[in-house]
Amino acid sequence: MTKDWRQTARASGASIPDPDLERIAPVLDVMESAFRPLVKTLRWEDDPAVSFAPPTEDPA
Amino acid sequence: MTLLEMAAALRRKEVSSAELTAAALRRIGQVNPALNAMQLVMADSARETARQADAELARGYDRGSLHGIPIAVKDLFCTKGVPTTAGSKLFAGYVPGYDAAVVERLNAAGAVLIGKTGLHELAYGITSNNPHYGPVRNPWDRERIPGGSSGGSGAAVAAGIVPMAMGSDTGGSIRIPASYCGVVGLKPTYGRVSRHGVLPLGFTLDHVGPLTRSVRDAAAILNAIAGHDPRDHTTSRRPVEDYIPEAEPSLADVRIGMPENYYFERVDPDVASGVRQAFRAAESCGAAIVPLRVPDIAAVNTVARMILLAEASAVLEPHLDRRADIGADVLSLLDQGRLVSATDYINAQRLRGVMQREFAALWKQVDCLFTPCTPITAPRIGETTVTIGGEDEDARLATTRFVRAINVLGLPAVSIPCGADHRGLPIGLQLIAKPFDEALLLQVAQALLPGEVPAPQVQ
Repeated sequence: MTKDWRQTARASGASIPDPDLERIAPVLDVMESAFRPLVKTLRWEDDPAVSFAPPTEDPA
Repeated sequence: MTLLEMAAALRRKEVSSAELTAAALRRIGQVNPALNAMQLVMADSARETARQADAELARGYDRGSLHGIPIAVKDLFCTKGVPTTAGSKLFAGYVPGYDAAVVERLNAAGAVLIGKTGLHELAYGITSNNPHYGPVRNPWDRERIPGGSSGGSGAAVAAGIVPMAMGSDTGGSIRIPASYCGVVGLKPTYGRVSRHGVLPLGFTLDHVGPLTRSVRDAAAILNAIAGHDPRDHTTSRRPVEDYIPEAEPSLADVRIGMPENYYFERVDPDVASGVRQAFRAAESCGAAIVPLRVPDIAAVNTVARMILLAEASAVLEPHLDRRADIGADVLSLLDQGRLVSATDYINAQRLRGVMQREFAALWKQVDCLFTPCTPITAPRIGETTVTIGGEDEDARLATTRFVRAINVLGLPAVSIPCGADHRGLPIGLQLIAKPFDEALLLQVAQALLPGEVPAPQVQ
């Protein structure tokens, strides 16, 4: 199912003018159709690749 | 002349840093009106730095191979007391109070910063056709783009203004201009070089590296800039090696992967031919060519785009109310990023981890992978659609198709020229290695490109 980008923009508070929104919607639809099947392949144990390290004292 | 040739000439006292710097400034006067490669020229401070470099060398204080060599950095790198625009109106008045970590290291190595190079607005695009500061033009054909986003760095090095200019690479922004301008462009492993003081675009995708006229020059720069920096928590504590390869290295025992899928689909025939020739050249240097299938790169690219859209919009969120001050192509991407949900961003980062593990398995079969850097040679300025094999494709997506995934994977990669197309435009070969194996990567690149890159005639 294609997302309603206008509703998404409104919900997120992004003030994107309608003509600009109409221009980017097809691009986002294409990406959505490529991305959604990939998400279905994820297993619960797949952690994100980003990591945060707590500040540590520099040994130097 | 390459950077290391200049360094040797300086030590033989055949030339001074002041003379090298004067020649670079003269070259700017000759070619920059046609190319718009330099965003800002720092003539006075460069002359003073060169004078100091000569004085130091005269009294026997030698800081190494960069000492007294004129260089430039992309106008995305903070320079203390010197405007840093990021190619954007948003930062038009920004004068940082500090140097980027890489600028600090280049200064400490004695390099002479002669100016800052032009770029795609906010480093967010591949054309360097900047709506605020004018288009950067390709020295091989001024009607064509130099690539981006480090287009000014690629053009300045190709046109012989400087032997080295720094670039940044979030989705190909060092390797693409290297490919389109026919120079060497090195994107090190994520974490090998500090990003501190480089205006971010994608926190987890941004890399910093040099564009040069030879492979050994790129290695000399990596020697100077690599290493841990406590101000960038993603930098590695791995020891820095000497990355400079032998002049004519053997590739015996080196296994080069030849992708059977993806990388030769929808490729300009001249580009495919140039890259296939590079495999034959590697084989003649003793390398074993290993045909293999690579993981789903189109899927990696999808994940890369999702991550970059979200991260770039997060970085620039405080400025997004100034829509009139942002070019149409960049604004469109920033708008798209605002509509990526947190859930999708996190899932993209989860997929990234899976893909990194899949790709890591390749390094059991091969030491290095060769691919085309870009499926085409430089498009014309303003050309938004390109035709490859009879099929139309968005120029930006086509240009980034082979490079973008490597940022998500964090792998080291270098683009070197491997011939020219039927119009005489450079073709780029991308070499990819496993994380932190820059020494091997540069050894293989050196075997294929033992000398200086060809120089265009800039009118």
